[in-house]
Amino acid sequence: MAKIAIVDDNKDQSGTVKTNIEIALAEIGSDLEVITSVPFKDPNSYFDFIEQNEICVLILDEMLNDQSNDENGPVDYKGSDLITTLRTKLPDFPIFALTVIPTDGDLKEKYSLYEDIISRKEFYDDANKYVPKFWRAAKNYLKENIDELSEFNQLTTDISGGNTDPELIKKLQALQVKLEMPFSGFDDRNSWLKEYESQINSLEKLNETIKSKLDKK
Amino acid sequence: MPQTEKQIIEKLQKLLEDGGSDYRAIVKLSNELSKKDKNFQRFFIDAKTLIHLGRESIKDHTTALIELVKNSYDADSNNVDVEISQNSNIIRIADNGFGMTREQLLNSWLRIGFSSKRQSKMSDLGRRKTGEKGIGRISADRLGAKLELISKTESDGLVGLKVNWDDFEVEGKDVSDIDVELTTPSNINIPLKNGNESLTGTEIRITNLRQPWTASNIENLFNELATLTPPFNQVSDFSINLINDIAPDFSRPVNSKYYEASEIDVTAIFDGTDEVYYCIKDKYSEEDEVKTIPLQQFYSKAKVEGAPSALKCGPIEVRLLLFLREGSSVVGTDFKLADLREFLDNNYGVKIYRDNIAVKPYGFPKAQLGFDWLKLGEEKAKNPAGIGRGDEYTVSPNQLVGAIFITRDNNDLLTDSAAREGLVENEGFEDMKQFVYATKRLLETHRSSIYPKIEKARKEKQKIPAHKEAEKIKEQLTSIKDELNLIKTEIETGNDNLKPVAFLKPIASTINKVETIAEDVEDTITELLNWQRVLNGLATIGISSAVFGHETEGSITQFQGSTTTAIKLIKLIPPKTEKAVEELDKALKSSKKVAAWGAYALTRVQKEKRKPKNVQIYKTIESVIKELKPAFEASTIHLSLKGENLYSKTYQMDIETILVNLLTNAYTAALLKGGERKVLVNVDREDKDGVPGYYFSVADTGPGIAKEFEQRIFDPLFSTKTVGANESKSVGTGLGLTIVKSIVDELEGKLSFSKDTVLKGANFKIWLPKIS
Repeated sequence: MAKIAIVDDNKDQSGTVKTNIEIALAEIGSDLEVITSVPFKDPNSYFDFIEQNEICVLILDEMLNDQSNDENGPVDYKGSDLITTLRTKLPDFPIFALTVIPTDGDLKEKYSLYEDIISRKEFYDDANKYVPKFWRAAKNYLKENIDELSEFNQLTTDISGGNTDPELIKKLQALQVKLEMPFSGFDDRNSWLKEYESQINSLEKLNETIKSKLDKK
Repeated sequence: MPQTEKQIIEKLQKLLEDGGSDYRAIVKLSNELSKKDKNFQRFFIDAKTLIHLGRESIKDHTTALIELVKNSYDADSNNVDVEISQNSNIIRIADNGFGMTREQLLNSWLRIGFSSKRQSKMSDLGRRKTGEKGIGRISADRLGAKLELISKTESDGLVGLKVNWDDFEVEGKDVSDIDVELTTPSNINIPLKNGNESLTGTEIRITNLRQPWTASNIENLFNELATLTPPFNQVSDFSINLINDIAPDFSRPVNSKYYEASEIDVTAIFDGTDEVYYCIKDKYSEEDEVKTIPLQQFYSKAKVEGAPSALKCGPIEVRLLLFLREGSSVVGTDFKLADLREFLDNNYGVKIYRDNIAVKPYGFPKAQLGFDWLKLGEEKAKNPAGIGRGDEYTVSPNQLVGAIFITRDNNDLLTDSAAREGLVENEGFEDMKQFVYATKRLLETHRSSIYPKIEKARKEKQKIPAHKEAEKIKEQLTSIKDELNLIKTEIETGNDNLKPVAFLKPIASTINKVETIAEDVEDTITELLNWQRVLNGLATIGISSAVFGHETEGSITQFQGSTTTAIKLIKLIPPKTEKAVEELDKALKSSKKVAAWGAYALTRVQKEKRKPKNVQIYKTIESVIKELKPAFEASTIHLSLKGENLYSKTYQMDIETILVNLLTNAYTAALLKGGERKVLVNVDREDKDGVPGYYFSVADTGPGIAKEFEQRIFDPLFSTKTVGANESKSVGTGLGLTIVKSIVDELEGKLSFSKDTVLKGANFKIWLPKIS
């Protein structure tokens, strides 16, 4: 099930936001789930978090470094620091900032990296204005990914079926980039297929050898 | 037992035959008889109704007293004495108005609900009468149980009556059952008229006072009376003299001429159709700006969007005076800065005057709902831009004294609300508000347009007084030196006949001069230092608010968010009550945080903290820490204090200002690192070079002071808060440590900093001499 995730060091705050999103989602008949998380010590942990939890929209608090939620103390980065890390691997992923002070200088500097920077006060005043925006971002993201995944499947089937048209290979590479898939060695796969084929050949040879030996007997 | 009609008639006839002097019995029987009427019946009024109308419908004793003074105004009096004596248990209101004849007293004054103002709206002097409901006189019951009224007219001489309001407080009696005693007074105490004994007037004496008056009540009364006659010239023929034995400072004539000290004076008059005349005066321009322009153009000049094509409020005149609370404002006027400040404290606000009498509660500084009815404070808080910021600049509500002049006859829509205070907030009212707002914007845009002139004048003024002051002192000292030299020469060259007594007078006069100069210098320095102390304190609140503001803002937002979410949860079908309660708990938690921060800001610049006294250093520090702890804890910073209590004679505000600045810096520094965050404050005795003293230090777990900044951190406007682990943008003003250093220097202390050996961040240490 696809989910909207709220990352905030203040659990009271994220709880209230979650409730508001849930109420508004129910009103527009969405079946998206909403989950909350406190910030992770290592910013790289968010990639696994997004993948494993099927996150399709991320809502980030700005002052992530205020409160401590474990024995390690508060984290040492703010939302506007985290977004830079996230965008290295998730260039098109929908990420919103939700903050008490949307005019904060650090945040404004990173404006282009967010879908939107939303004032917490305005969100509480009119959640129905913002939640459809989250929902739309989620749908678009999911739709785009589903379309492209099916195209990806088609291309891999074609290529593995022996079609080695360079155009097809180029297209597949582009989709891999877009879908943020591990990029490692398409050439390897080609050679792997060759090796696989050669191993099949040798298996066939072995098979023939065994057959002929059996026949001799 | 009920009487028959016949029985009543017989009794009544007997009473009339007996001479008819038992009027009370005659009235009672007549009333009884009228109840036997088979075709028509009449209302009769319970005596207690009067108590409801008077005592209970008037908000407080100040309002009640003002109602009576308004009656004096309506009676065309020139002078009113208002006397409140707690010692003699009396309130006296005496005027030299037109007074009342016996006929008026009996048929008008005693007739509840009667108001001559309904019959004629204008007084003979052309004053528009202020009340119309005819119940002002029973408001006297709110003040005291007994009332004695004496009135003087040319035709009837002295007439009077006595009312005991407590007589009306009985169950089941008709109002006509209660006697009001008529008196034949032999004298009356009323103010003079044009220097002579007044031939007419009214004196009301209220005794058996219902509640004590405090000094603050008297101050409020004074301020409200002051606004009965505006600080503007329109009403110059009406003066009030307040006499009281509770607050002697306010025992004086009620008047003010402070408008002379205004920075900008704007008048805008809407003619009721489509034109606006306006006049802008300011201290910096030689000529006034005077124009008559179409209404729409007026709005666009004031840079107000959405100008209406017509205003429903009718013709109005708006006058707004902008005051600054600084020394330059009183240059060239007759009053002192302290007086001006007091005047502003008492009178700021934009008031509405209908026929030259203030309509409460609009613009009254102490009125809970009415003071900032134009929401100037809210606007300023949203955008606190200063004058240098062009069109964004807005005035603060406490800088503005304003008046809106309306009349009953020309402003039909601006009518009283039923509650006796305020106007009905209809379209006319909204249009008036909008016009006042546009006039305020005109004032603001004008002020920002003359900003360069103001700056120039300010710079010149800054130089001149200091220079002149120094010159004046130098001149005086030179003259003393000359006089002393003269005496010296006389003694050296004098003969044996020289008598020491001949020099006593010049020497004594010289000593006096020196003393005067010394006092002048001391006063100036003390005032400057005290002023600097306040500014330091205020700057510190500003600095710390900017730093801790996120936490407060966060709590306010959470409070609001949780409350609205709780409402949503309750409205769901079925309602999610448990979750709603959870949200309300969060709201409560947040509201406590906000309240704590408010208390912190309010206690920072209290007056008593600005006087030197024996201060418990540890306790002072402990209380600041207690106030700031919630903000630190919200950012997971453990704030702790170690040390022992000690006393020193010093300024409590200085100690607090130093500490708050150091703690604000430590807070920002600690936030720059994740993990365990700590700030530790130490207080202890420490003598330095044989001088008894004490120190307090603030250490943090932040990144410490970088080597390259060590030399610059005390420079004004230099801030390291732009450079941090996260390259976070500046919240620093670069004033905190400058303030700390200036205070430490003034207190002859020492300020040092180092890397803290335990917490690894910065450690700022303040050493101060311990004064017994």
